Amino acid sequence: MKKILIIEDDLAIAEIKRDYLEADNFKVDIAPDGNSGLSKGLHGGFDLILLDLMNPSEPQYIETVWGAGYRFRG
Amino acid sequence: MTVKKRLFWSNILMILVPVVSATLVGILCIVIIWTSFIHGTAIGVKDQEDFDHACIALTEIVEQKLDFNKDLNSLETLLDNSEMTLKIIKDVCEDFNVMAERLKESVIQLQQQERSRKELIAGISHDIRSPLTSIQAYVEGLLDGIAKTPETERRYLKTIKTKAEVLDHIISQLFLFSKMELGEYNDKPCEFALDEMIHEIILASQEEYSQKGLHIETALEPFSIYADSIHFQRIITNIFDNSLKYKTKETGHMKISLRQTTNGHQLSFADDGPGVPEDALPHLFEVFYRSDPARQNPDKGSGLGLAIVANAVHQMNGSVTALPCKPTGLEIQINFPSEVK
Repeated sequence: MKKILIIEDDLAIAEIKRDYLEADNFKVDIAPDGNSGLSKGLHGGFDLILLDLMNPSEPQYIETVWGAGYRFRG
Repeated sequence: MTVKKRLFWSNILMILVPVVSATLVGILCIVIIWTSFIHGTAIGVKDQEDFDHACIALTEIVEQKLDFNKDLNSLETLLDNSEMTLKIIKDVCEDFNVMAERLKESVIQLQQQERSRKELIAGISHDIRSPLTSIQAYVEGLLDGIAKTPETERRYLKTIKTKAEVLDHIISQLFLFSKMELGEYNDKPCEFALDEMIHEIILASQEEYSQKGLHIETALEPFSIYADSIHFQRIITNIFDNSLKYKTKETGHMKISLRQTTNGHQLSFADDGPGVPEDALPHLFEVFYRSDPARQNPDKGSGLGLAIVANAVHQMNGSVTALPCKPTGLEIQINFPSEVK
């Protein structure tokens, strides 16, 4: 089963995304903020990360996650 | 007197009166021109060269003065050398300068208004769109059969309901705010005891707030105010809600004090929440201002709560300020001048 990480600060939106993906047999984890998103992303062995780019609260984490993208497939 | 003599005198007067009056007017004119030369309401020029000098100097002065307060010394010397006075030109320039500065101020003010109007529209769009997106997504989820169990279905419906409530709250706050801005809110002022009203509100909502983790303490001196009581309830609940929304700890505390000051009465709400950065404090009462730039969570508020507070307080001739609390927290101070009573 493929694993997907959703980094999204709006919990309602994150949950509906999760439900849709789970209905399609993906294993889904949610990270509500940049910090947890980064650590989960780096160590969770995910196949795909869905990152909310429009989140202006932590622009630096988006860059970090984005920049660290190549490291995620550990 | 014979007819001949009369004719003689009238002829003489007919010549004398116009001559004398013309001479007087002439003298008056000369005096006026002379004094204006002396006092410098005009520039006397001797020849073409002097005239050119004066023109250059005048242009320079106007330019320099408009260039905001460069000193005029060098030009004064230039003109002094040409035996001219600067006095009037200087005055004119200064007036011009003041005018230019006022114009600049009003342009800046207009730009600010325009900007806050744009921010308002952007804020409304963002804050309305977020809950709407959730509602759409969950309705689609239900239609697509994503909610497989009755519990999930119930959770979906609950989310839709909550988001619809958020939307409703934003829109009603917005409606109220625009009515207040347009001056269409009909307030019905009456005299009431502010301290008693605060006690009543707390009594009615204390349980709800403490369940949500906000404990309220009061220290109120008796004070009667002439104001719209519904407006006042709104002020108080908006401040409570604001504190509740932004608290980060499990339980928060809010201290309300009402006391007499040297020039009126002061109502203060101080919480021990995360507070607000110093540079954000003055903007707290602006429409759609949030100290976290994210506006990531419109559930946290309509962005209008404190703007409504400020507006209502101003209608009561009061003033409102935000201060930091020690060690952490936010204090909202409302001051009423004594004549409000």
